[in-house]
Amino acid sequence: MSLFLSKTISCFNLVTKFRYLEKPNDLAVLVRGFKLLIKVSKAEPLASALKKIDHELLDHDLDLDRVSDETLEKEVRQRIETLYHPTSTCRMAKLEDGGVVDAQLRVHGLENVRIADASIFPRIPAGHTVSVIRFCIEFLLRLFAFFRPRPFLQLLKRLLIS
Amino acid sequence: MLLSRLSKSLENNSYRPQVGESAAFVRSDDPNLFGPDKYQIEDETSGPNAPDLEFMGIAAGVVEQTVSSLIPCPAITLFIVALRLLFSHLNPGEFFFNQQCNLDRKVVES
Repeated sequence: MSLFLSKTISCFNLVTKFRYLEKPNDLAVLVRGFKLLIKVSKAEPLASALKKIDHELLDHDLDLDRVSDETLEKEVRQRIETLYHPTSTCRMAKLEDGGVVDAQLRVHGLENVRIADASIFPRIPAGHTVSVIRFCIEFLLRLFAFFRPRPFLQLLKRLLIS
Repeated sequence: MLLSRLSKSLENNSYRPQVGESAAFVRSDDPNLFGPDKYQIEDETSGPNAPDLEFMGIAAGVVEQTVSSLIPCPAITLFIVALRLLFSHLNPGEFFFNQQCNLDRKVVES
């Protein structure tokens, strides 16, 4: 028996709602970052290298003295986009804290299912996610090496049982 | 097409990688970079010297991080990446289909 979805499903796009900027701290960090961008663009030697071109998408009018924090918040909300590094969908934590896997990478409640990828990160790392994934795989391999069936012990057990 | 252009520029010795390359890591609560404002930043970094903002630049004007969104005039793009967002672990996101979807119409073969 085989079970699959009907073909009509392919015409629908899966929409992910990440709930960006739900926390005020995230918005505050990004507004500070926006201020840094404006500062850098007004600083030498970049400022003298820039020429004013009339284009609706170019920012020549942003100036920290004239722009209020509220305007920057609006701009951040309009311009934000993701860099597609989603993590922590099966985060390593206790079950009561909303975690999915334990410290041995086992899914809570299941004995032999382990997860080792970016979804288990308790928090998103500040660097690239790929290096942490490599550590996850390394950790998983070490776990497997630790729990691997040992032929000598099995032979001894068989001899003892027989 | 991009590859052929790249190989040509490599032959001409004019290849300079210039897409999203300049990066600097800073902290949003650094008093040397940011003056006093109304925000009280909570420290969400992994340590006292760990960053929570990445500053990057692209030697072209783009609206989004896609080639199709290039601005057709000489420009540079500066952008900032928030590295330690809170939403990722406190509030899980949602997945849904953008139209009404008949998921119960499964096809079963035996």
